Amino acid sequence: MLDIDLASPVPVYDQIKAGLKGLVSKGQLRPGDEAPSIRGLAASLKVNPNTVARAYRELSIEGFLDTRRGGVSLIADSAVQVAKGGLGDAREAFADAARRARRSGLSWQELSEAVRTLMKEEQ
Amino acid sequence: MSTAIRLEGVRRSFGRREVLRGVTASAETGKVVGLLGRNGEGKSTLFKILLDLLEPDSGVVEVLGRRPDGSGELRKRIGYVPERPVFHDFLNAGEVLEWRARFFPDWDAPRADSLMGRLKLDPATKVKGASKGQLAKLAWVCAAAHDPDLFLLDEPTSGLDALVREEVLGELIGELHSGGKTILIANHRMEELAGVIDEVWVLAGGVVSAAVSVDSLRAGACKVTARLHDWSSRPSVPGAVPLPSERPLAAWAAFTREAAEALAGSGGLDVVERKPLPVDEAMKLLLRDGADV
Amino acid sequence: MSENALSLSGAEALPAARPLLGRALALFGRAPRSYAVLEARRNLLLYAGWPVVILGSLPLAAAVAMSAEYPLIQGVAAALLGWAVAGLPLTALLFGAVAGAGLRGASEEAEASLPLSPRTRAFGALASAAGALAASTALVAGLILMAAPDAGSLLRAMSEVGSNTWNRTHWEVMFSVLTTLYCTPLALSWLLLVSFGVSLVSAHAVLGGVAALFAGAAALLPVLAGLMLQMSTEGKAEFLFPAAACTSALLAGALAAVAGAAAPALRAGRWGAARALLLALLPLAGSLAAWPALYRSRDRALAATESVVSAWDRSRGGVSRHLVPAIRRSLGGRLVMERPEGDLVLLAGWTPTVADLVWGKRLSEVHQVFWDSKGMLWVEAWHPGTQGAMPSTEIYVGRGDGPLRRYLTLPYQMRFTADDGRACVDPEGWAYDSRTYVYLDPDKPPILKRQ
Repeated sequence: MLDIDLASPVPVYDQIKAGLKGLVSKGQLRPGDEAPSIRGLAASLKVNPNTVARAYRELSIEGFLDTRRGGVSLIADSAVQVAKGGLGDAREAFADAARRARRSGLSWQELSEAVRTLMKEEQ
Repeated sequence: MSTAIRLEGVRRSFGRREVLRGVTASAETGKVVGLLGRNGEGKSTLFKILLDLLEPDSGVVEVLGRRPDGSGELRKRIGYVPERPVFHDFLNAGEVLEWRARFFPDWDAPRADSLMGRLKLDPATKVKGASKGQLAKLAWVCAAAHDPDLFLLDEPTSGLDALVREEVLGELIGELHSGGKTILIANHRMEELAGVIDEVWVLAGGVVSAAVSVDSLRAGACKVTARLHDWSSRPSVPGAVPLPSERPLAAWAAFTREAAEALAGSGGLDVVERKPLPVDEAMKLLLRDGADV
Repeated sequence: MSENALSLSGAEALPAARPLLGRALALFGRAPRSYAVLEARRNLLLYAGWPVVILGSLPLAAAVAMSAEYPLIQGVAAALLGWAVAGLPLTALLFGAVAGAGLRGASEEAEASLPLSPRTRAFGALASAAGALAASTALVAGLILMAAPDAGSLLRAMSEVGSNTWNRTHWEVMFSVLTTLYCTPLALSWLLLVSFGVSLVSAHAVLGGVAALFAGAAALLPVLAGLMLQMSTEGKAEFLFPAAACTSALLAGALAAVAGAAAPALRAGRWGAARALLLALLPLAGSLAAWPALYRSRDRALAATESVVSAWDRSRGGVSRHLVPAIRRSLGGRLVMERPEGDLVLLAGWTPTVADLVWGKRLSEVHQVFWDSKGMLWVEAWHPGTQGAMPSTEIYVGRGDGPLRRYLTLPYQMRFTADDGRACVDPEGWAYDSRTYVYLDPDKPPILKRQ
């Protein structure tokens, strides 16, 4: 369900948050769905449940998750907005990077090459 | 108590051979600590001391708030999985657990049963001739069924096939979920645990040469490359180790952001580039070269 | 998990004010008992199979006896004697070694995570080995009682270990040895303990067994010797009680020491193993108590049978017999004379060593002692003969103020006597009237010539 790169410098809880937001943006998770259990997600990702718990806490604060009684978390109604907002940040970051690359002397050709290489990596 | 394990200046020799030369480290309750160390560097000795099976020659040892006194009482609250689990070969898995139940006042038989079920271990499996995976599963049940506060795991997944490894790791993570449990786990393949452990202790030269939090490693470890003007005075900084380099480029592995910045700031370097270093690489380098982190 | 996890259970929950009692009782708590049972299960094949071996040896021995044309029952008796004298001690060594070495090695790894103290494990293993040994011992004792023609006499023989023991049936001898020696807290438990201790410390069963064999033999030799000595004299085996009491007390202490300290000592670093070995060999100290007892019994045995000799005064014609209190015959056929100064002078015979007495060397007997008309003391001593040689008679002569010298060796058919105040030998038989005897002159070499 979620792809976590344990070797990446991005903190794991951030990756979890981004991953869940991504699923909601793509429509695979909808508001009202039950979020994966902390224990189950931790086990399947091979991460410390505390890390997952931290991610869920922050998502709850951001309004992405609704924590109900009994430890169950549901995707909140406002989740889609939060996700898109999150995605907006990602889009901004990419644009920033592209601008900086251009300023450093990269041509549009070289930039497209770079993106194509990334696409290839993912496939 | 807030500290599950406290070691101060622990020394232990066997005859002339000094195995532990002043180990100092501590683990807070609830933390998962990975113990990184080469074979024969004192890992098992350290475990045995924590288990109250060996007495240190000197130094302070406190486990779960108590000093080990030789009586073995501590082991009622510890779950231990040895590197090569051994059981009495005239028993089967179910009998092994039955016998253990007699010695642990907090043994939870239904819990043991459900663990066996989840791990798909048949109680009738005879110890003699059991596969490595079956023995590892049994070792896990033996360690977890009495709901210990501290887990001491010595290479619990080594030599196991991927499926069994997954199952054991899953159980381990499940234990963490209930909270309040501390885990000290020695594992050669730290990469599979990189998401679970909070801290890494590097055991080298008979001491814990480095105790770093994994989060800080993940966030700050990077590879620094630069052009070096003067090769005779190569900068060295605590928290960074030099990597094999080809002139005129010099490379280092820096384990913290501060170390990387110190390197970049030190004179004689040009065109400094920083690339994030994967956590498992960082841990391998920590073990190999130590770093004074 | 709160502190409740550490609350001691059952017999271990005693007030801290009585820690020693608490620790002693804790040895009998649930966990140690369970551990003893586990140890028994681990060695089940040996502990349960041994009685089968014992029983199986009997028909085997009977078959051997039959094939050598001896009666069946003698084969069985020989087998049971073998078990009593050699088999059970070896069993003690074996069980001790297996139990001790078994605590190290694979068992140690398998049980590393159990919350048992090394003391508990050692005690449990020792208890199960001792139980198995007791079972085998009881079996042998029971078999002897069953096979003996008169069980009642056996039980009586237990309390009367003395020289008359050798006159009893071999069943009674065997049973006396078995119960007097091995069922006291001596031989078997000792061997078990030393074997266990050395095996535990060295983690090597064979080393432990062999070391215990030598060490145990050194410790038990004096006790055994004392027993044999006692059996050469009349009276009950009283001497054993001081030795047994000392060694039992030391044994009880040593038992606690081994189980209590040798095992935990292995956990420590510096000098831990050396300390453990020392503690494992502590039971041998009990043998030190037995050595003085041995010498005491020897002296007792020797003294008890030093009876005053009546030496004939043959200086004049006629026969009169005086008790010469200064001259005594003792065990071993020694003839000693007590001088006015109070010391003893050996007149004839030899002083047996402990080894001689233990191994039952047949001793010479002094038959006749008399003074002749010249005031010379003559002694006739009969030797049983060694290595198949015929028994012989030796004649000693001397002044009686010092050792006698051997004057003549006679074949046993010849009789030696005195006539008319002179020592003489009758070469062909007693014929007083026909004067066929020859006179002996102490100052001249003996010439047997007809007068």
